[in-house]
Amino acid sequence: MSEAKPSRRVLLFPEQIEMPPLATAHLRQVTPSDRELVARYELVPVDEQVYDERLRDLHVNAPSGAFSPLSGTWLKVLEPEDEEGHLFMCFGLHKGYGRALAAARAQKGRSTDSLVPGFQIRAMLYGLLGTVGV
Amino acid sequence: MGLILPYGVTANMEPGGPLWESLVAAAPARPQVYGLVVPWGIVHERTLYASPAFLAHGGLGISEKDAAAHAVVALRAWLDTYGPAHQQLAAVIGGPFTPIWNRAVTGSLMAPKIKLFQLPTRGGGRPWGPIRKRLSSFMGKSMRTPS
Repeated sequence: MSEAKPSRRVLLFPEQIEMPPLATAHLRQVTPSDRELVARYELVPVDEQVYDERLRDLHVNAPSGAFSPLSGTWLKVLEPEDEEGHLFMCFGLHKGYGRALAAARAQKGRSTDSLVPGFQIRAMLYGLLGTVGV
Repeated sequence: MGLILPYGVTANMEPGGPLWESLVAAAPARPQVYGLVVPWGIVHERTLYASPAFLAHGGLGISEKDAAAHAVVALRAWLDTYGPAHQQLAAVIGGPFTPIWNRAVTGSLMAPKIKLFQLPTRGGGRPWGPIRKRLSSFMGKSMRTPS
């Protein structure tokens, strides 16, 4: 009797994203709402200098509202939450687009390890940094 | 009406470039204009104007093959999610964009509403003239035909 192959569960969001030379993003929480899923990432800077010079005030300089260059997704950097300066960013995925993405992925073949590719979130953060001149 | 152009497929194929603008101008009334960008899929023209750093995928750590595969998935997802908001979609295709379009559109419910215009592979001189004429004709008819 052959054993069933364990099915490979597709992650919605990458659990960890390397963002050289700035930080590593760690997925801490996914919150669903009626219309979207919001992935909350903690940004851990590579060192204090990067934090001080490029990341700490990012939320101050970022456009009000979310950075949304691609349909169906958005990114927002939040204020540091405590004196230690833990920095978070939220990545939003509209549910309708997410469902279409999952269906397209199933039909057209796997292109990344998670439904939302890490390189997209990384690129959006870099894009946000470029937008605010950081 | 939406018009999707192959961003960067050739010189001047970006917003503000003469080729891009001449194709947009072929429409009787200004359509919603998008670019197909690898690996991101469909990106609105106003985002392309802003040229945020994320548009370049060099340095993202993915191969050309993976970038194309992601573009197929992203394009198909966009067509199925946002395509129905358009009465018709016209897309200019060519070069590496052709297989991406072909894979993404196959089996899509949006397929009957999409008209693809293939870039000339040869011809020299003014190869864009015939495409402009066909685009103008298609978009003019689409705008006169109730959905």
